[in-house]
Amino acid sequence: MKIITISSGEVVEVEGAPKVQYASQGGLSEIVLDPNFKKNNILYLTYSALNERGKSTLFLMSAELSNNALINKKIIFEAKAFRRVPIHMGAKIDFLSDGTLLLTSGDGFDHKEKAQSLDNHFGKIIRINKDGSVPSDNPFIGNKTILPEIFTYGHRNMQGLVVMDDGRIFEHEHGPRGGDEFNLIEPGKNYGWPAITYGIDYSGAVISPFTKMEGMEQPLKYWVPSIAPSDMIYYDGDLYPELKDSFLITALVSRDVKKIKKTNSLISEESIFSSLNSRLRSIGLSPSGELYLLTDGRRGKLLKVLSTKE
Amino acid sequence: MKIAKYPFAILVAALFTVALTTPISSFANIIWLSSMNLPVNFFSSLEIILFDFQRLGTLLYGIIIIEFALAFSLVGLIQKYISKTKYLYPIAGALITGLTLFLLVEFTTQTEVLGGNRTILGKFLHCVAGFAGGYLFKILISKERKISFVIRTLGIIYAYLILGLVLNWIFTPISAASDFGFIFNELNSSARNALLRDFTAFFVATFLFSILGVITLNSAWFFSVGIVYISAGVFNLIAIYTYGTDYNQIFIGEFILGILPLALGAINSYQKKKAEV
Repeated sequence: MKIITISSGEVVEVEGAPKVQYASQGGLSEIVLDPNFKKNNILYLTYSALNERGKSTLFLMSAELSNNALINKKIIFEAKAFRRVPIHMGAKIDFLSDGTLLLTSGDGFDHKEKAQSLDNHFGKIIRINKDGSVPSDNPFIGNKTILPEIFTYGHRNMQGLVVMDDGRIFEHEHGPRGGDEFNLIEPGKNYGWPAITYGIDYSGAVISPFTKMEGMEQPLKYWVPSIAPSDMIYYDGDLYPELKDSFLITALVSRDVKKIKKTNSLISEESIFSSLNSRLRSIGLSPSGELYLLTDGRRGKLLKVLSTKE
Repeated sequence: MKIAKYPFAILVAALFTVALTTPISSFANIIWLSSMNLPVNFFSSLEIILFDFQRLGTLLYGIIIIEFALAFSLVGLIQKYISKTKYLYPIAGALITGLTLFLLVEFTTQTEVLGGNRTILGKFLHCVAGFAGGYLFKILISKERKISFVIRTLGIIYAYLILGLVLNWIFTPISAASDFGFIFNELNSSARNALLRDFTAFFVATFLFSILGVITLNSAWFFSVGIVYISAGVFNLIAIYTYGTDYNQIFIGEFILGILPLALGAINSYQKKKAEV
């Protein structure tokens, strides 16, 4: 874990990073600053690791950043989604306006059917308080057969999560062969995986011949063939006027950024940055509103997007 | 004419094993979907079973050919030193299938690619499929085979490969049409009808012709398939160079799909004439 000061190029190692299970798709996945970071210096990390019983799962940790070291570390969530290898972790975090946080917990690949069961955290979006406790208004509170942290279910590998200023939640999930999805998330709803899907398995096997089912949500948009979405932001800044009010989704297979505009029920899509011809792993904004892209692979690069205003 | 029966016996036994293996995953999936109260019926079950046989099966077919080739060669060597038993090949088929599926998980994906292989029962059934494949292999090599065996083997593999196109057009025609550049919803009703009718008939007919060729060993069926695909390739080129449609490389596949059955038909005719003389 490192802190990069872009203006000077200085790179500082952060001490006290959690011990992760670096294997397959696992490792340190996400680092998100608390909305009050300037005051409390608290940040949140997701990672895959072995628990006390040697089982691999997804963890969410809060910690205070002090003098380039993590202190007051606390594991605030350990997913009940134990798997043999750390794969399909999800592991994205975002905050709701009420101060609670959302965490995506992927289906673990071998456990995809469990995304439809509510006694585990495979293929779920989790909502908890910052101290790890469960908010009293979670959708399944009161039902003893359902884990109370569950916010939504029926997901695959959710690698993009955005909470809008107006409270709407958007998510995308990395689908199988075909069937990547862009979803509007609403509490308590079932997003269908793997009972309904527009994709087929990597092996060519049928996952489900069904694409629609009563009681299961349809995606706002899906991609066949796959684009392999990897991250997402909603851009509403002024530095890049041509990107304003758009979702920007990085993609690994289509090697571009999908600029998605949602106007009422209409979804438009435009491919941008395809000239980079790189598998794009992540996208983010600096505090001053500059856009950065991260390419995938051993020689991955952090690219700054210049504004036409510059 | 005597031929090297062993490689072709492996091809047939492996395809037979695929046919037994893929339904294990299909039925595991069908049972789960039914448990979720999804409207699983005969048609949707058939769709899952046939697609899995073709798409998942194509992946497995290559793997099983290799594993059988290794295992049965080893058995052939062992049998030079021990007394022959009719269960050696079946046991080898079962063991190598179980071992291969284990190694695939441990040394490649570390995830269970075959849905039907997640349970102990599923693993056992895969081994049973390998056992049956080995048993068929033993039967196939137990007597001399003629060139017709080769023609039938290659003909059935050819039909198996084009089965994917057939299934796409029968079960998911809109998706199949999009693979050819048609945006189904933008076509008028007559065009939609023509598209679904003619394309489905084209692929179903060529599939049936090749199956009939395998069954009857009448070269006319193989020639029919070959002529259709060669014609598709020729008219593809005419469309590109005369009518200015976008260049595509599909004509290469069309010529390959045409040449194979033509060759089978020609060999079959030659053998029959030779036999008559």
